[in-house]
Amino acid sequence: MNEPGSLVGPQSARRSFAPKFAVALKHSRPILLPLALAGVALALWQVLTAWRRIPTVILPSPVEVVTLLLKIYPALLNHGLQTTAEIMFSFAIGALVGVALAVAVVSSQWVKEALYPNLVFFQLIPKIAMAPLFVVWFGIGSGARLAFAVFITFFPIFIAAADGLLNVDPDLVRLCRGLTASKWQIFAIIRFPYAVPAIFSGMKIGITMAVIGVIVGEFIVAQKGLGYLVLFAASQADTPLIFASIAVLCAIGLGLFGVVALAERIALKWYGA
Amino acid sequence: MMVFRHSAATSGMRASDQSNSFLEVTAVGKTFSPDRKPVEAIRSVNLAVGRSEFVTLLGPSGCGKSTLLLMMAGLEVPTSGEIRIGGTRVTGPRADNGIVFQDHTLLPWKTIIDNVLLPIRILGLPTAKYRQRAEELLELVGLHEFRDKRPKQLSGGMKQRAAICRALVHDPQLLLMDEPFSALDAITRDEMNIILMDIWERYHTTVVFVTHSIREAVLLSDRVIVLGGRPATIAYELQVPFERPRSFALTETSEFNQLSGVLRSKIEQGIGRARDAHPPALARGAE
Repeated sequence: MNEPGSLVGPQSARRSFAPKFAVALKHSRPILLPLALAGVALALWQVLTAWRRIPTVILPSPVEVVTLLLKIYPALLNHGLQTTAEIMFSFAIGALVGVALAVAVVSSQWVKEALYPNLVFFQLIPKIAMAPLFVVWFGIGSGARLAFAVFITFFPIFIAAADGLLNVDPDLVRLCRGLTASKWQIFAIIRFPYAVPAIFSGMKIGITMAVIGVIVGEFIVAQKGLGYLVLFAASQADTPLIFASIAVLCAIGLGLFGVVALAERIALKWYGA
Repeated sequence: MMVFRHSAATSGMRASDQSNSFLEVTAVGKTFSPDRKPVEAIRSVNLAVGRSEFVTLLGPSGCGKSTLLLMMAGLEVPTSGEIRIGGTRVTGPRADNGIVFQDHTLLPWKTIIDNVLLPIRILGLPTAKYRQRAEELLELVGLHEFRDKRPKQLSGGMKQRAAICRALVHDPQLLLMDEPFSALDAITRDEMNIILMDIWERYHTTVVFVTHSIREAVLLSDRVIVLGGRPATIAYELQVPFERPRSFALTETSEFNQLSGVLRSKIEQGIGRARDAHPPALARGAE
């Protein structure tokens, strides 16, 4: 046993047994494992609803939800498109406002000192509670929904962008100042590119906030959209429709988050982090 | 002691350069007042650096040598006295300075060559015209084949070499280096010293170099200025007599070690003086 040969023998035999499969499994494990867990959970859900005879109105089974989803998908798509468009619009405006405000804050010491603490304090307010106010201000049209979604989207983007713009290596700023660089040059050449990773991590939070903002908006005032559909289905006690709407909403949220995450990856590759 | 005074006089070429000095520091003092209680960091420093001279400011950490360098760079304003470069008073940053800090501060999203060309972009000079010089500098420090790589693909020493190229790309009159090799390991540091001597032999740029390494100071400089005390003043000045070009073998000689010993004792005296002037328990009451 102590001879080297006897140790090498079984090891190499095992290695040749299924090496490719083992390596493939190791690499795909971070994807396969969560998927498997989700699959098991869905299967349990299905078994539980059938076995315990849970009424559909309380908890429909996954199969029931999927069946309904396939049956009425043109209507769901129609509502989904409205919601998606509003999410994208409020995200775009929210990102623009957030970054612009962050730039304004860092560009002037006075503005920074006056505005920044107030905005951080504002961050602590439960902004969902303010949604009805937007109906008072903007009426019962899409204006209220969009304004509210923009309002809760821009915050995380603003905070992250301001942090990124402020946390530039002070030695680098000093080096550029030492070469007679103007404030604008330092911003364009150093500060803004430096903040790009931070801006993207803010945008990843921002896109999920945009989804929440639009749905809450649709809860309060809408004749169309998935949020409206959820509320409508609840009033009809149509629980499978609630689940189907939420499923579509999940797909939209995931898709939009994926787009932002992909953009981030491309940007970070350029950034060379 | 007499030996060193004598050798200082005989290496006359550099000493005579000081008469038409390029950088003049006259009675410069600096007091910081972040709170109500002002702290005097530097008091009445007089210093003249000749063209093409390599002068090192040597002293323990936090003795004010970096502050003095930043004032030369126009990044800090002296509280008293004045600094002149080429006869004109320094009132702010100048386009003909090159600066290297302890940290390389390369931009991660730019290639090495584009990082080296950063001053050209800031100064609004034609990039095409300076690209050749940038490549020449990279060649000189052995980074030519890394010109299109990103900083993260380079080692610490290589990044600092690129930072030196960046400081020299616009052909500055004065190169200001603030502990440029302090963050590097000992072996890389020796390597960087040799590279810096090569660069100096090639361009003969006037250099003010800040370090707390005695060996580095003696090896690189024409003159070493020891700063010490609180507030910092010039505690000692040493003309380094060794011929150029110098090699690393110099650090093994007894003369080199003797000079290092002198500097070490002067630094220690400076620290001692600071302690005597402000005994910890009495420091507050005395002011």
